[in-house]
Amino acid sequence: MKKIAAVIMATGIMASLNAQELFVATEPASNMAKNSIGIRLGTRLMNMKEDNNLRNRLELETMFGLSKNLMIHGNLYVSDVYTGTYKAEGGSLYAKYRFLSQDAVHSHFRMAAFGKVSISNNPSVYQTAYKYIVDHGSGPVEHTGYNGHIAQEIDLDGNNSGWQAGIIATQLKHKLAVSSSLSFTNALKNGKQRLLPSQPRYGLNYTASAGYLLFPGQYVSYRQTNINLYAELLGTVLGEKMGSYADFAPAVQFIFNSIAKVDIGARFTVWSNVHRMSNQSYVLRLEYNFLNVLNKKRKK
Amino acid sequence: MKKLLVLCCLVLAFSSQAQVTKVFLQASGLTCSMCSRAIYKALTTLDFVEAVEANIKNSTFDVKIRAGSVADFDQLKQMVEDAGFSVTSFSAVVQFDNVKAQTDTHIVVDGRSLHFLNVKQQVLNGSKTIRLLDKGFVSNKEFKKNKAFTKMKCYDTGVAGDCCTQTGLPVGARIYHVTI
Repeated sequence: MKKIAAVIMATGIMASLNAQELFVATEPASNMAKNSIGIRLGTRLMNMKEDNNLRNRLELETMFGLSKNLMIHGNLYVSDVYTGTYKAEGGSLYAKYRFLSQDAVHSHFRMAAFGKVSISNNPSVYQTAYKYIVDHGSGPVEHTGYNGHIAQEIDLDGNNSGWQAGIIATQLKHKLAVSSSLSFTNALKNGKQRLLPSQPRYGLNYTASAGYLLFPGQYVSYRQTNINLYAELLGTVLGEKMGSYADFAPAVQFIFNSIAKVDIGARFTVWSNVHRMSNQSYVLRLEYNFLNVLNKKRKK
Repeated sequence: MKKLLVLCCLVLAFSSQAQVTKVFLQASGLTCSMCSRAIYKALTTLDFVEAVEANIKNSTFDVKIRAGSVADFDQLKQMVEDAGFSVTSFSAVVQFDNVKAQTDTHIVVDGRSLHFLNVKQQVLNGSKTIRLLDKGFVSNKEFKKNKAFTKMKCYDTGVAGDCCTQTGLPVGARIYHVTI
């Protein structure tokens, strides 16, 4: 409970300061520029709850600005999260349509609808290693093996096949940005795998995000490095009264040359009454944008 | 008939005694330098643009028009919108040579029609800055406020309607509403 209060306070403090809306754990209602391409390479280190070992998911994301209001993302996932051995897990496709824009100088209020479909070939059960030593009088004997666990969470970034749809609202005011989203998730079976009775099928997701432009105090050049701080709250209420969970995701972001980004973030469970894979994860993500490259009328 | 129209357009174009040399625009809906750079990059891809100077802090862009080229105001606005933002102020520096201006009259600059609003009757000479008042070139609030300056329908649509045909413009021709 104390943790939740701390998160709410932190989010409140952030909201009263300045922020940017290039959130690390969520998407804003704004889109990328038309005819532009963005490429992200990310790695998420997860501290597995059962054995405290770190597992890693690599993510390659390509983003396209198809029009001023529509953009799509395509993601590929490779990880050792389920078995401790790296394998290609699947991919996802995300589309976002901005349907409301109220712009003023140095501020905007925007809303967007988004949808996502994901395919994953992961098994229903993930494995963590165990090791224990028994001595029956003839000397210590080491026993090793794997335990199987079921994740009671829906994760469309590698773990689950399924779809998600929702809306986002973002308010930017000078250097302050706050954003919120509400979405519905439906987990489907991964290939021929069954969805086990204790695996969730539906989820209602809510997010609240805020950020703060730390540097520069005043813009004079595109070459100035920007530093943004973010605080995000990400929650899910599972269907069929299975339970709920919420994470706090702080992050720091560096923007170089107004075109490349480095995101460093973490994600901590602040509330959960279901069995999750990990209560702490850490993200490093690199992004580069190619502006206006899809414009056929582009000047040579 | 088509030939006649082309001839009329050519006469109009050559009767132009004014040229746009620079455009100053302010974009709205952004604060960050990445957003500003997206607009900057989009503007620089236009053929008639020679150079763009951006002020990230004020979200303003000074666009130098290539000599001998015709600045397309709609295309400049479209570039800002395609980058994900809006235009809230749009001015153009025009070199005039003995051009009469008065409210609710049209002149032709670089082959395009300008409709003056809220100006005193005057003769324009030398370099003057005109400000566009059409939808998308000012904030929605200002667009609504400026409705008080004219009763002509073309202000709402941005194209010549019945109200403009007496000046020889075909119905549907693009008209930019401007003030000084």
